[in-house]
Amino acid sequence: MSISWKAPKVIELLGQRVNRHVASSLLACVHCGMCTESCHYVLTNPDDPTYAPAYKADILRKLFKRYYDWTGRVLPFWVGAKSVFSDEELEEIKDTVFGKCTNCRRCSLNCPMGVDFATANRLARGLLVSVGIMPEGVAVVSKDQWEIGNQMGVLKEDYIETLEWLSDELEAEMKDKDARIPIDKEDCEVVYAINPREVKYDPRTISDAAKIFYVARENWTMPSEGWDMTNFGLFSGDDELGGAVVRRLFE
Amino acid sequence: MSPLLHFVEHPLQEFALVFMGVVYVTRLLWFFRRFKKTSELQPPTGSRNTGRALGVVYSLGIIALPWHMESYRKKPWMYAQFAFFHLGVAGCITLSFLIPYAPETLKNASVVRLIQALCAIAGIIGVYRFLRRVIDKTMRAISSPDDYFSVVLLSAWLFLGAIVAPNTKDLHDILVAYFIVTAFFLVYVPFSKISHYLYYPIARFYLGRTMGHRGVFPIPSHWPTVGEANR
Repeated sequence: MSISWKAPKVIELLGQRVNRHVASSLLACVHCGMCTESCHYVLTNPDDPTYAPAYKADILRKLFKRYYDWTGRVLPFWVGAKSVFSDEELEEIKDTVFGKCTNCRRCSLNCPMGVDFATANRLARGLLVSVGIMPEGVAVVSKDQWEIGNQMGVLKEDYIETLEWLSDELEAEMKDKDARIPIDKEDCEVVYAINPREVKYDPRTISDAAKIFYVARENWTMPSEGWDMTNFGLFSGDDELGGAVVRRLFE
Repeated sequence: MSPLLHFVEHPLQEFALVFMGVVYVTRLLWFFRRFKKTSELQPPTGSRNTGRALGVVYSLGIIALPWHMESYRKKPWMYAQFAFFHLGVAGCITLSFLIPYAPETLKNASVVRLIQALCAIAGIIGVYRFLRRVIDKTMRAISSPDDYFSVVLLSAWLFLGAIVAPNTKDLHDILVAYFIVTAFFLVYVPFSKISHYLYYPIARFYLGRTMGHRGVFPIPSHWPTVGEANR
């Protein structure tokens, strides 16, 4: 087990990012175990306690107590406070916060104390992402959202070309030269953004939507930029990416 | 009253109460100064029947609406034991004030019996909670030494409360023990999980505010239609 340079950074960032909402959740949990009743991961893996929401939230709570709570700093053993030292430990945390929780908040709704596990879990994801630790798939799509503007890395010319031939097919099918997919049309009622998987793997969903808009005589358009409606920043706890994707879509 | 009993009932309790009050005030100041405010990243959504204020009220009041929580719908026994356990704790706390400051109240046999029943039931529930924490694999995995110690100490204190409620002279030694444990509690509680009640309203407030902001709280008796949901 090697000492990690990332671990102290995660601890430092935790102190900076934890707000009253998360702090109250970390302090209020009494380990009553009621959250296990409502977690679909627990229902699927009833014999594995590591899926219990309280257990998963304890990963962050142990760190929080060790460094930012009184009792945990003085008597860490007594309240289950614990630090993190190695890359292996950070990888274990990654597997839990990304792989054992969907942030669905069902446990939060059913917690008698009002502990918001999902918000704490998302904070934990963001801390790991800040030091470059995340599942490989998340890293790839996040990079594409930053660099190319959509999670599947579809280039603008490919996207426009796809919309063009979809328009040609729609026009032929509807036998109407106005039956086309409008791009960057101004003063529309609807701006239609999509999951980039549609344009890359199954564009028929776009033409199906276009047919509905055509038949409904909707005043709509698809943007040439900022057309990715998915947001891996929101998923991974990377607020910078989340904000950038939303801003791109909005503008 | 012996000098020892007077000491544990008055100076010791009063010191412990002041200590607990000072630590709680300090903890709250630490909490609000140390941690930054919470802000929402998205605009408010949901029907007109939801919102931040309504969400907070609902969140704080949901403890009286157990049928709104799936966890308690599935296991109503858990809600019953939660309710009786906390009623017993409230009874035992009340007793710790009645004995030194209003002992005449305990001349009423009905009051004594009520407090004894509440404390005894809560004590038995405390034993159940301890056993559940020891036996259940998931509970063991999420428990710290403080979790075990708190429930054991609380159960012992509740049983002591059930015994000393009549407040008669022949209970001298047990009364001394009861007030020593009470004083220890007052000093220990702010540093243990038992102080959850200090953070409970804060956690509930923030959950209610954010879920109300997102149009989830209050959870309606029927889900709104698309038309209702669109403001």
